[in-house]
Amino acid sequence: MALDEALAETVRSGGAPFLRFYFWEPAALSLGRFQNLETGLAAEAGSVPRVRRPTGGGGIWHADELTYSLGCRQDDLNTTGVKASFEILCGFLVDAWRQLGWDAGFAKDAVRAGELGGFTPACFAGQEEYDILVGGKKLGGNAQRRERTTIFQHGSLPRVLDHAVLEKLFLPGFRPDPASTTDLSSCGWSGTSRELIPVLAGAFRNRLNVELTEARPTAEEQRRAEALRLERFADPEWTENGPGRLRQA
Amino acid sequence: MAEKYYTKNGEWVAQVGPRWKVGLSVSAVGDLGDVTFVALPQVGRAVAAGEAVCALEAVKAAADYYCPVDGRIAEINSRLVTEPALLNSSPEDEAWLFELEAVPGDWLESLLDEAAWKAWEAGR
Repeated sequence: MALDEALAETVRSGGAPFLRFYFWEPAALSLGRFQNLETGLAAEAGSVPRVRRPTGGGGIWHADELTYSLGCRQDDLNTTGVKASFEILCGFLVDAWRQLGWDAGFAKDAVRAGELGGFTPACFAGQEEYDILVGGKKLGGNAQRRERTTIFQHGSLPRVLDHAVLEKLFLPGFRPDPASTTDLSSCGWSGTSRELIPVLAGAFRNRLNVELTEARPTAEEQRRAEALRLERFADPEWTENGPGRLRQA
Repeated sequence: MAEKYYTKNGEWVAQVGPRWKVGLSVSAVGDLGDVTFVALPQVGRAVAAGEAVCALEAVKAAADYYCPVDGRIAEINSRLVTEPALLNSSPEDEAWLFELEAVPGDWLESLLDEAAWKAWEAGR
């Protein structure tokens, strides 16, 4: 999270847009930027590693999955619209899944509007317009943080979604329903999460018509990430309360 | 309410007596989706035009909003703390965000009046 934030700062100060892929060790529960921990989370959610994301949305258990983050300027997308940006920035995932032969599309094109929306403490339990459905089931989740000129987006792509763990972390009535959620493995992906990266990077290149150059974070970004880790993401108060749940802006 | 002035980010201001009321446009809120949380500024805080002063969470996006006016926060709309969805149902009326005691400056010159705002929105 700290490195994501450091990379987002680079974009904010005029640096190049980025697309990053990563994995989780140890597995952890991430919480949405303003998520209230008093709603929907079971007691066991307090005893697992936790981190609060800069992005919106509900909680995600990150275990056997591929995670991406991306940052860009709104000008890069030629739109200031929130929904328009989700359509552009999640489109590469739809393309990738279709390229794999899966029946993929946005929820807005498959679900009646009245059945979409509404905050859910578990990200995978809800469906929003630009969530991606494969075979009618939600695959992964994507969320944004938006500032005046920049967009930062997270996405979680579970290779295997362990509903037994989710049942321990979320209270009844708030858990993702196995009948309406899916994972990469169930969709037919037999490779590792790492082996999916070139597929997604290729789809991203094609959808956004951009060149991707492989790079490591700069020394300055790593230094900044460590500072952000210490001052924010490792701070239990930030994890518990976020930036605005109990503190005013 | 008096005439509104808008920023291209979707914030509006309107003079009400000696104060300026600030809120978000119908289109800004509509594009964000169902609002689930609102972080409001502290009463008494001095703010400059362009300063991040509010944060909203919709279902999938957390977004910052900016003060269009130089001044000091005089009052916040506390209803939004318990009724964030009011922003979706009445963004330009009941769901105003806060009121300021404005200080003189050239901030008004950078805002769009209602006619200019409508023209700008039509061209987006």
